[in-house]
Amino acid sequence: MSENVWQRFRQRLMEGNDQDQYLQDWAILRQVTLLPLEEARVLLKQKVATENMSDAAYEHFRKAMILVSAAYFHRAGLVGISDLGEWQKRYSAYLAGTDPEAKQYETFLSLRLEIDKVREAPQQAAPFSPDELRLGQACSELFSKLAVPLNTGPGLASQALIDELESLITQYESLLEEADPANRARRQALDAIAEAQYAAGRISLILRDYDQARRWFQESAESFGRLGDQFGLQLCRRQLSSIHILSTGDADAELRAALETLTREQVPVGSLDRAQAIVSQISQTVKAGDWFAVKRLIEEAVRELERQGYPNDEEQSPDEALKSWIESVPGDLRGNDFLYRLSQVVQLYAGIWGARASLSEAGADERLAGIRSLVHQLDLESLQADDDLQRRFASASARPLAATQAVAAGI
Amino acid sequence: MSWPPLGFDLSLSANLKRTKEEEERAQQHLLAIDRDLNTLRDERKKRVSKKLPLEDLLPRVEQLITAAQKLNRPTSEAWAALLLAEILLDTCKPADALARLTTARAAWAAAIQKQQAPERSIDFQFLERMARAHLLMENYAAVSAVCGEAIEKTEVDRYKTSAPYLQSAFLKDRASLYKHGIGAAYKLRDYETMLARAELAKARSLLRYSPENTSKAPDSDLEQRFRDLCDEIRDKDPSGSANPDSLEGLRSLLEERRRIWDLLLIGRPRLEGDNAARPPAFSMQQVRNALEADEAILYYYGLDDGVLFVSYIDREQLLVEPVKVSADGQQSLRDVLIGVQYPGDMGETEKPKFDRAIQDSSYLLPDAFRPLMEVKRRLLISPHQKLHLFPFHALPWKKGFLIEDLAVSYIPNLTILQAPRRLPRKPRILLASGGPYDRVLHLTQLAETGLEVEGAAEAYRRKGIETDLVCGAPLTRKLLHDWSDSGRLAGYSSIHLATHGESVFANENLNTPMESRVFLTAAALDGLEISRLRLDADLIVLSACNSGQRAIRGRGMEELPGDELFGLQAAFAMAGARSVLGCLWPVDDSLARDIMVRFHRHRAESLAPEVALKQATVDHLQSGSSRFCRNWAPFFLSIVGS
Repeated sequence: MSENVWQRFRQRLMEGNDQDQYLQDWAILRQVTLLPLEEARVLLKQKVATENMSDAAYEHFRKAMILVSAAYFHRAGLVGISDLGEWQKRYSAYLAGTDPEAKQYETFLSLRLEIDKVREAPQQAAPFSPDELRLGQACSELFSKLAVPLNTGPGLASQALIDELESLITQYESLLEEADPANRARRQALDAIAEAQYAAGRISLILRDYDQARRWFQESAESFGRLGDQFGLQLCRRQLSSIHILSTGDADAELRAALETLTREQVPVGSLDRAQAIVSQISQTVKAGDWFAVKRLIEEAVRELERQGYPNDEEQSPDEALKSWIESVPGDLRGNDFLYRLSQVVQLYAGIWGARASLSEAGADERLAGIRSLVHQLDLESLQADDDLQRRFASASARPLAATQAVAAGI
Repeated sequence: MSWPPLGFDLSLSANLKRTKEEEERAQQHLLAIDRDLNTLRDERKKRVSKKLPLEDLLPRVEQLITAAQKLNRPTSEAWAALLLAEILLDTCKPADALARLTTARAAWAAAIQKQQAPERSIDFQFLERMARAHLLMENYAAVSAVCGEAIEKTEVDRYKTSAPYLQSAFLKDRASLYKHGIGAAYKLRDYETMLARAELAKARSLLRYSPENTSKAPDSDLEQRFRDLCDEIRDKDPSGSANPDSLEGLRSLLEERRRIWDLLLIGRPRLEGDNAARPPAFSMQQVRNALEADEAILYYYGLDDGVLFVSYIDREQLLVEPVKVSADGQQSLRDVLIGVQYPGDMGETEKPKFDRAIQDSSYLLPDAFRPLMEVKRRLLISPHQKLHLFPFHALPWKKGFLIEDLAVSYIPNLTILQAPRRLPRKPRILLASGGPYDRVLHLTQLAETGLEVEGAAEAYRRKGIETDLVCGAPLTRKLLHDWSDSGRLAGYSSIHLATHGESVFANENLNTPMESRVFLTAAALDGLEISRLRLDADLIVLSACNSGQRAIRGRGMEELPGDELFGLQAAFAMAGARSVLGCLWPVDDSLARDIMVRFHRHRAESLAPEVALKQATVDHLQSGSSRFCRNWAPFFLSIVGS
C-alpha cells in the first residue's frame, strides 16, 4: 500500500479535529498578518465572512486568536504584568527586538481589537470556573488509565479488565458525587462512564458472559440516554438486541430486523444501513446453511457497497481498495466518525469474505486475513496520525504565526 | 459519539499502540491455530480419499489442542478435539474416539457454562461423532440415546426460523443424526420412536400454521406492498419468464418481494401462539384413530445407503420392512424420475420404457404388506425425498394398476392426520380456465380447457350444486385478488383451474420453487402470489402440466433435508387449501379433459376426492384409452392441510 494512501487517511482522520482546526486557524492568521494592516483587514473580513466560515468555525477561530495572544504574551515577556507603563515598555521592546513574528503580532493585536466589528461574537459560554477545571483535570488523569481497557479487543479480553473498568467507573462516580450539579466538567465524567460501561459489555461479550454483557450494555444505554447521545444509545440497543437473539436463539427476530430495514425503512443517502442489513441476512443464511441464498446475498451486498462508493475490486488487495473507500466517506464524517465509517466498511467486507470462506471459495481465506490485518493497520495508523498531529500542535502552539506553522498545518 | 478523544497525550498514544500490537500478536496466534486446523482437515480429507495412513496426523492435532488450551480458546480446542475424534474413527478406533469426545465435550461444556445460548453447532458435532463411534461398536441403545439428545436440542431451535427456505436448510448439517437415530430405533425394534423421529424430518413446517390464521392479514401495509410488487413485476414481465437481469429493475423487485414474503411469514401467527412453539407432537395412537377400517398407510423413509424403511400402518397394526434397494432397483427408480421430469410430449417409443421402469420399481410395495393391502379400499402414501416424484398409484397391482383397485392419495407426513377431520362443507364450486392466451405469454393455445370446465360445470349443475364458471379473458389476477379480499374465494369448497403450468425444475424454479407458475389469460400467477390468496377450500384441482410437482432438490442441495413442501402444492396449502389434485408431469389437454370431467361427475355424486379420482381413472382406462402411464397417470391427490 502506498504511503500516499495512508497519508490521505491520516489527513481525512484529522480533518475537523480540535487541534487540527487550531492549526488551520493559525495558518489563516499567519497569512493575514503577513500583509500590511489595511490589506490584512480586508482579507480577514473575507475569511471570517459568514459565507466562508460557519458560526462554530468562527467561535473556534476566536479561541485560536486567544491562544495566539497567550503564546506571544509569553514570547514578549508580558505574562503577569499588571502595570500598564511597564507593559507598554516591554511590548515596544519586543516589537523592536529580533523575534521574526513581532510585526505580525502587532498586526494581529490590531485585528483582534477590531474583530467584533468585522463579525459579531457568537454567544459564548462563560469561562470554566476553577472547580470545573479541577474536575476536568481529574477526569483527564483517570482517562489515561481508562484508555487501554477501552481499546481492548478479542486477543486480550479478560475478566480482570472488566474489574479494572468497574473500579474506574467507581472512581469517576466518586468525582461526580463531590462535584456541584452545575459543574460543566461533569459531562466529561459521564461520557467516560458510559464508554467504560459499553467497553465492559463488549469485553463480557468476547468472554461469552451474556448475562454480564447484558447488564453492562443496559447501564451504558441508560448513561448514553441521560447524555442525550443518540449514537451511543443506538449502539447499546443493537448489542442488547444481538444478545437477546443469542440467548433465545430467536433467529426470526434478527432476520425480521434486517428485512424491515431492507423493505420498509427509507435509508438515507450515503448510509450503510442497507449493506449492514444484507450482511446480517447473510449471517442468518450461513447459520442455516442456505448456500444458494448466501451466494445471491453476497452479490447484492457488494452491489450495495459499490453503490455507496465502497467498491470491492477483487483484482486489488483490500488495502488498495481502501484508497477509494477513504474518499467515499462523506465529508461531514470527521475524526472518530470518519474512522468508524471506514471500520464499518471494512467489517462489512470482512462479513462478506467470511461468508465466501464458508462457501470454500478459492482465495477467500487469504482475503479475509488481509481484511483482518487491515483493521489492525487502521488502528495503528490512526494512533500514528494522532501522534503526528500532537507533535505539530505542540510545535506550532509556541509560535502560531511563524512560517513553520504553515508546515505544521499541512499547508 | 467521538471517543476516545484523539490528541489526548503522547504517552497515552504510545500505550495504546503497545496494547494494539499485543492484541495483534494474540490474534495472530489464534489465526495460526485456525490455519493449522484447516490444513490438517484438508490433509485428512485427502488421505481418506486416497486411503493413505492417518496415524501421523494425530500428534499434530494433539499439539493444536495443547496450543488452544494455553491460549484459553475453548472453541479452537473443541474443533481440534473433533478433528482428532474424526481421525480415530477413520482408523477404526471408536472406543478411543468416544473417550476423547466425552472428555472434550465436558471441557467445552465447562468453558461455556455462562452462556445462555451455548453454541449448539459445536455440541452437535460432538454428538454426531459420538453416535458414529457407538454405531461402529454396534451399541444401538447408545446411538439411539445420543441421537435422541441431539434431535431434542435441534428441535428446540428449529422453529425459531420461519423463513421457509432457511427453515428447510436448517436440518442440512443435522440430517445425519436423525437418520442414525431412526436406524438405531429400528434396530431396537422401537418402531414408534423410529416413526416419531422420521416425522421430524418430513414437511414439519406444513404443520406450524392453522388454516384459520392464514386467512388473516398480519400486516395490511406489508400485504399491500406485496401486492403492489406483484403488479409491478407482472407489468414488467407478464409471463414471468424473463431473465431477471434483462429488464431494468426486475431483479431488485423480485428480491424485495421475496423479502416481504418472508416478513409476512415471520409475522404469521403460529399454531400454539408462542413464538417458539413446535408443531404438534407425533402420536401413533392418534394417527391410528384417524384411520377408517378400509384405510391403510404406506410410509417411506430413505436412509443414505440405499436402504428404505417402509412401514405399513392401519387401525390395528404397525409393521416395518427395511428394503435394501439393489443397483437395478436404484436404476429403475432413476429412470422413472427422469421420465417424470421429461419436458413436453414423451415419444411413443419412450412411453413403454417409462412403464417398464415403474414396473421394475415394484419393490416399493413389499410383499409382506400386499395381503394386508388387498383387503383395504383406500391407501394413503407418505413418500420421502425423491419418492415424492414417483407415481405409486401406477405401480402394477393384481392384473392392473394400484389405483384401479385402491383409492390412492398422498400425505406429506403422518402428523397431518392427527387433527380432527373437518365435516365436508356445503359444496360450492369454482371452475376456471386460462386462455386464449395473450401473445406476450408465448404459450400454446389449449383447445380443451374451456370444454373441460364446461363439462365439469354441467355435472355439478345437474345435481343442483352451486357452480361458478370463469373462462378466458375474465380470469385475471385482479379478479382473483378482488374475490380473495371480499371473501368470495374462501366461499368455494372446491376450485378447479385448467391451464398451463410450469415445472418446479424449469429454469430458475429449481432454486425458487415457490415461484413456479400457472398461467391466466394475460399473465402468470406464481406460488408466492397464490400463497397470499385467502382460500378455505377442501380441494384445489390443477389441471395443468407439472402443477403437482414438489421440489425435491435445489438451492445447491441434492435433497431438501427437511423434506419440506415447495411448489404450487405448498402455495395453495399456505393459502388455505386442504388437498390438491395436480399433475406430476406434462399432460395432454384432451386427456386431461376426459379424466377431469369424469372426476367431477363422481364428485358431483358426493364421492370423496380420492375415490372420485380412482373411479375416473378406471372409467378412463376402461373406455379403451391408452394404458401408457405417461398418458393417464399424471394426476394424483395430495392432502396438504388438516
